[in-house]
Amino acid sequence: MSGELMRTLEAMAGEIASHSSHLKDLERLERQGGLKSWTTTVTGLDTNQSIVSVCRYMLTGKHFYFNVYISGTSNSTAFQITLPFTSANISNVGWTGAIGNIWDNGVAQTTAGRWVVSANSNVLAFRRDMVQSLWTVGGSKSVRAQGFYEIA
Amino acid sequence: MDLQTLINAGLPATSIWTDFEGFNQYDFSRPLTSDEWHKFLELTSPAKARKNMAKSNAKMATTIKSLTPKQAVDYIEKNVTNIATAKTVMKVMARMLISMRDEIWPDLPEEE
Repeated sequence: MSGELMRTLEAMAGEIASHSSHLKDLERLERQGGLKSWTTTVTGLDTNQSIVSVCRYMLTGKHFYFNVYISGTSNSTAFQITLPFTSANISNVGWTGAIGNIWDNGVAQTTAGRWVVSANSNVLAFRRDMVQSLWTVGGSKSVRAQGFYEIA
Repeated sequence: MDLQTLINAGLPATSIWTDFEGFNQYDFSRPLTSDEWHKFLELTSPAKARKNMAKSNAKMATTIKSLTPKQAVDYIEKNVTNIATAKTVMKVMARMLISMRDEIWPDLPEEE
């Protein structure tokens, strides 16, 4: 009797494990199916004035694809936002790319800037140029940026 | 540059921090006016301060800032008649020249 019970329990455990695997597959497929939004914390904009942040992403496996628009009034030389997933911790690896559209002190910039995510980080930083020119402290600043990084 | 220096200069600085790429960042309690921003640049980066003022300084060379090449030649012909008038015109040209230096090579004064 106890042997039969054990066999039944083992069969049930196997079935549950199988369903768990299917659920993970379904979750992964659902993630691949559409964009989601995340609520971010912005550094570099005056919180006493209007801030617009639109942060959309898609997670495919360990690739996090983002599309963001951040805009407000500058009160810092920095400009960065938080991410919903920490990046992978890989030695000598970071992620960076050109920003599609940059405004600094109310003026559209004619030269390219970059976004950057370092390893083991949940910060997405925006640079006013391809190195590190400080953002003007004052006036409006905004970015429209798309890119991807690998999550942990 | 330390926080107290910025505060002593009358700037509403609240913190200085180094970001993950090693760059210094400066936070303020409010947006700065254009005069305050220039003061901040003078304290932290004289070259950037010069570049920041280059165009507005160039605008002060009012007699030549909007001339075409032909008008510039005519201007010299008409206004340079002796040493004194040549000196006057050269002052205007020097202002424009220095402004252009500050726009193109703002770090030149610090170079060896």
